[in-house]
Amino acid sequence: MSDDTILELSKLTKYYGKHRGVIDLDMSVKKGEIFGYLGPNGAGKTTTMRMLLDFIRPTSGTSKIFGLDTKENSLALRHRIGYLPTAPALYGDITGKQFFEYCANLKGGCDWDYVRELIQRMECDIDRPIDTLSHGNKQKLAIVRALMHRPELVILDEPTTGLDPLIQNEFEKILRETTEQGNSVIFSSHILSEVEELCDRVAIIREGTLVAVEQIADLKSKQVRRIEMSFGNNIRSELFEGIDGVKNIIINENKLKCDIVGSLDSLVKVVATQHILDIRTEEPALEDIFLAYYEGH
Amino acid sequence: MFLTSIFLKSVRDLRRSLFWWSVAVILYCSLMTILYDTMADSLELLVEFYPPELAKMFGVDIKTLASPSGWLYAEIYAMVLPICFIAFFVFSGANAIANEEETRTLELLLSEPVSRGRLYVEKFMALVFNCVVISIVAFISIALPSIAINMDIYMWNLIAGTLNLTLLATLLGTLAFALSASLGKRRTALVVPVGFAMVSYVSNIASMFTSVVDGINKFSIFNYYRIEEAFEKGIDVGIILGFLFSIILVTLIGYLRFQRRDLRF
Repeated sequence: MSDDTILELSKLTKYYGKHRGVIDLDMSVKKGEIFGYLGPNGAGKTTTMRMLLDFIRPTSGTSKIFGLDTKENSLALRHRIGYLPTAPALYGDITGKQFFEYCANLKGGCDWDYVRELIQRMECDIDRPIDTLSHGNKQKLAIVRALMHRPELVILDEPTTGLDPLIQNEFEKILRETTEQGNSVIFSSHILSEVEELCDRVAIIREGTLVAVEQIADLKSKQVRRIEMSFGNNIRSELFEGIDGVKNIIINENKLKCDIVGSLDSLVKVVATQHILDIRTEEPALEDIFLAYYEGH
Repeated sequence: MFLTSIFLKSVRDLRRSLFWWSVAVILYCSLMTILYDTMADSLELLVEFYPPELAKMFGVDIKTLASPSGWLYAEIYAMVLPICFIAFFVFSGANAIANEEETRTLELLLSEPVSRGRLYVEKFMALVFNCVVISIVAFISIALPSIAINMDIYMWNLIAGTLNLTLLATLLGTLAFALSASLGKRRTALVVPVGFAMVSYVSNIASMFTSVVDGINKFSIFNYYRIEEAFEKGIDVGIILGFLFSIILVTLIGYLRFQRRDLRF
């Protein structure tokens, strides 16, 4: 484990009886990094995170945070980790303020000026019983709880669920500030655009197995986009043959559908010679990214 | 104040339940104790004509019914108060950890710097606290009216009887608690202790009529629920130690299992 590595998984495997959790995960996260953990629902993201928090024990392999085994040193590590579970369940019969007081007491105290700043920036409603809050407002409380003790490592499982775009922006700013102070963030999601915005590197997990660990820039270069264009005149298929990265071309009179891997530059240069009425592009499904990976590896 | 520790939060969570159970216990126990004053004379008549075998079915020796201790035993300690105590203690024990696990608040709690051991101990202390409170409430609800009507009962023996009942129900509550922690399943943690209590009760009654069940009855928890003896002789140290040993053993098994298992959320 090098000096700047704060998390290291080595052959980490979890089976639930005969059912697969995750298999042979090997990856590391560096200090000051926002690390994306990307995969479809059921891929094993939450299983990995729960092993890091020692809620479940690995079948084999090891996980280390700050050089300490996560099972043997769980309590010591939880002083230094902030965790946001997926769809967090909070105590419904107390207010947000009471909830933070309870969590702060369990953490052994925290900087209340910082907590108040987080509450204000995330626009938390802390005076009503949690049961009466919307899903998004509960999520904001859970986010503040994960960050309130200035943890050295923040583990976030699908954190942006239910947040409105403005709050999501503020949340991303807070995470960037956190990493600027030398702390690290692991951020799981099944939405690629979210990970692209925030993360420096990303690990992709599929059916319990790590497919790739990539820099975001490399990931984008392998990204598959589906494009639909309408033209003012009928178009010929020969026009699009041989364009770098373009495949699965379907032409129907004045309409073009195709998939493109990586940069749009070559395609745009070709279609610019035509009379374009409309261009639509779909965010690639994770499955398509995985397929691109399988084809590429 | 109640949100400074898991123990106090757990006590807070059960405050309403504890209040209403206490109200029910106060009303029932004080009323039944006071009734002895008006019933004492007619009880002699009842004892004369009541079929002893029928009384035995309810675990009551009919010959003692007219005495203060016999009345308290038959009307309060034989069935109603044990049912109240067992229901409250088992419900509280089964909910303690499994409810937090099933509703997933445990995920939040254990992501704080709180060890599983600390969580287990504080939750158990909250259970014991509630058991002690309701036992004191029951004792006072019987003791005060019995003093008011000059009931001829030795207070120390009343304490001994209430202690016997408290330990019986605490053992079942502890079993529910340990199962709740070991399995994370509230339903199982409720059903197993209640089933065990029912089988124990039936076995104990059956042993009064036939010696066939004597072997099984050694494992019946009600075999060690000896209120009439307690009212007569006071605290039986052997029984108290037996219950305490069992409570500690069950608590320890639950603790070890909770430490080792995967959490279910």
